Amino acid sequence: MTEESSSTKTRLLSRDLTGGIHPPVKSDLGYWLSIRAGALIFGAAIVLFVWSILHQSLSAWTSHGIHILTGTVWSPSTSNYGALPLILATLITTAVALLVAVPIGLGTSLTIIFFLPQRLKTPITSLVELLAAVPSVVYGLWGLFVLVPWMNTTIEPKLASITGGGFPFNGATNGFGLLLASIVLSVMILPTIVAISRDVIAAVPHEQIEGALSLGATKSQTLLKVVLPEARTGIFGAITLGAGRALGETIAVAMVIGSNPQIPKSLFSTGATLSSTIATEFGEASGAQLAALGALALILMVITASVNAGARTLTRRALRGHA
Amino acid sequence: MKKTLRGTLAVTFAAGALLSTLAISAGASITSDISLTSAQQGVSFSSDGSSFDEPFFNSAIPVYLTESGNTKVGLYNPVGSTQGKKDVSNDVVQLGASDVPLGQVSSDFGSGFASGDKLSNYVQVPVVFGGVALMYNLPSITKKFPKYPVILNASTLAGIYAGKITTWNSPSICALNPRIVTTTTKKVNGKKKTTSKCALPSTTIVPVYRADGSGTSYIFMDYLHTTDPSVYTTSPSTTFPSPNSNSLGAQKNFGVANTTETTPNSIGYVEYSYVLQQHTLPAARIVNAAKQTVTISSKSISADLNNIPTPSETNGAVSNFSAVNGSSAGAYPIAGFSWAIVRADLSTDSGFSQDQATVLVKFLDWAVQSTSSGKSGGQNIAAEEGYVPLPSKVVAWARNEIQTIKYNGNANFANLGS
Repeated sequence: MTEESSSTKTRLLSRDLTGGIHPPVKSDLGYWLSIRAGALIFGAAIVLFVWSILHQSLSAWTSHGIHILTGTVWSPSTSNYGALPLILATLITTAVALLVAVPIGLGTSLTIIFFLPQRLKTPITSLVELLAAVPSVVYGLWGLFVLVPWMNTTIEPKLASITGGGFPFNGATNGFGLLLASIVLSVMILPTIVAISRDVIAAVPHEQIEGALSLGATKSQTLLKVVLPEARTGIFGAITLGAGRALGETIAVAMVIGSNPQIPKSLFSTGATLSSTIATEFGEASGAQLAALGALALILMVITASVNAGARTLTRRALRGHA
Repeated sequence: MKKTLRGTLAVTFAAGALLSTLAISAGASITSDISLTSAQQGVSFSSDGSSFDEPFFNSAIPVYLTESGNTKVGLYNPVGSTQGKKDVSNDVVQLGASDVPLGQVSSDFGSGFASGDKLSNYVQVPVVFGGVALMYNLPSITKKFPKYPVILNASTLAGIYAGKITTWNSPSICALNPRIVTTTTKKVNGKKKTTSKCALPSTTIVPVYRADGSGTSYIFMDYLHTTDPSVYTTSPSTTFPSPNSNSLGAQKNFGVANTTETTPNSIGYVEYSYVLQQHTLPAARIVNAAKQTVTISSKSISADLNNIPTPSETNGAVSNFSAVNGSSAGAYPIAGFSWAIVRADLSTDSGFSQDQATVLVKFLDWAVQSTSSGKSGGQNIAAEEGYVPLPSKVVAWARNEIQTIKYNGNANFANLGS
């Protein structure tokens, strides 16, 4: 026994800190057990989570089948559970939010690192980070009371007149809708994108920047051709996390999107996302509606997981191409 | 909220001992119908459900505590009608409140309810009566014609909420509003000729509805479907179907009121109290079944109360409870009851003692009455909170229902006074 443990101990020290399959010496037993328990509990939580969503939504899948994914009408009052309008609204609001937030976020990061005087860096950074600390219901209220009238009377008519009422800025306006939801989301994901992209941009080796500058590259050439490509995997990560937050954001979206599930015809259309529908309807749902909301949760989970997986593949490919 | 028998006994005993002095001193002022023994003064029941009932319960419970000497009953939790029904089914609470009686929607006793539960396990009584107002946002019209709120009737409302009437100056709405006109005088062949034209805007109507499940939606749909089933074909349920692509969904009465306030050309249905509280927007006047144009008020909501049918009950199923489209003079036509749901045999909630059951039954009996033994009852508090007190025949029916509540198969709460 002692021989065995001592050999285990040697292996543990020489190879890794996980301690292999066999329990180590008595003094390490607590540690050995606790890291395994942690991993086990975490794994079990995920399995239970997926299982409970599957279990909850099973009757919806068996009674409606693929119609849940392809149906164009979401109307619990007539037991019609087609989630396509919700899926589309989720993807559109996330995409538009990223379209707005990524350039602004990257610009903010580059400005903070390269252009701001030292004494302004900390206040600007903490201002952006403050956005992350604002509860989402506050964003929702801000959207409802401040942005809705403003969108309705100023922004949307202006967008429509600039584009001549062309897609995607066409149709009736009332302030609420996909565009406002996207704008609120873009503000909400901005701190995530700024915080991560700032860190990865700051981590670009200074020698490379100096090298590029010394070869005669302009400041913009250095930023676009050296700094951003070098930091791109990290920037992908920032965008992925931002997309994850936008896909799952609930209350703020529910308050400004108009909660009227329909296939969007333009960015001015009202709609409802997967998560806003769950939040809006869950409290008073039971029976078939509850199962259908479970199915929405499953769809949302699959979308979020695919976004993560897709980003990971892109990152891996980018790394390989880089090396 | 499940308690072991020993725990309940211990709490009962301790509280009873503590409160015995208070009970003796308060004993003289307590009327026979809600008087509790000292043991009963130290036990509680819990309640949750419809947010519409919250102002009522949370004003009534403290008064009941003072009047009965009970110190333990906690406040009502406004978790929503459906959750209230589920919670009473799972013995999480002993009193669940819903704007629609249990058994009216297909999802009742589905997932979330205790398995094998059924309607005959329950007694349901109306606790409050209230009206649904239609607030609208037409600032220019409201400014120009302050004395003439927009008038709507059942068929225009059904048209708007079925998505078929889409503009404010639709001929059917204009025809109802002969006062909202612009008049022009022209000289034709030396004679003055006055022509009037509907002044309602040609803008698109934005119907605002409840996106979450709601008893308010049920009452409003009940009205639309009862009065105009050919236009409003959907039968009433707690989930309101989206009228058309211009409409906006919002959560809770609060959300509908705010969305209507921020959206020009919109119209939204809310509990009457929200018009009273926010009163930045006018409420539409409604043409009732007697062809009168009626403004919503406590008086008009209650005008038809004595003519509405008394609800009936068979094996726990409540029927004949719809109170919309009253034909009495001056009756506001969009109104309904909200319901308290308790187990028909309270001993089936394991751990719920007979003393607790007595407290619950006496509370309910007090809550449905305006006066009990010469003292102010729960319905007086309902009136203070903006509801309409239940009419006497409904009170009598509700008290009859309450008398049927049992404990261990015995209806031994018969001594409720009168």
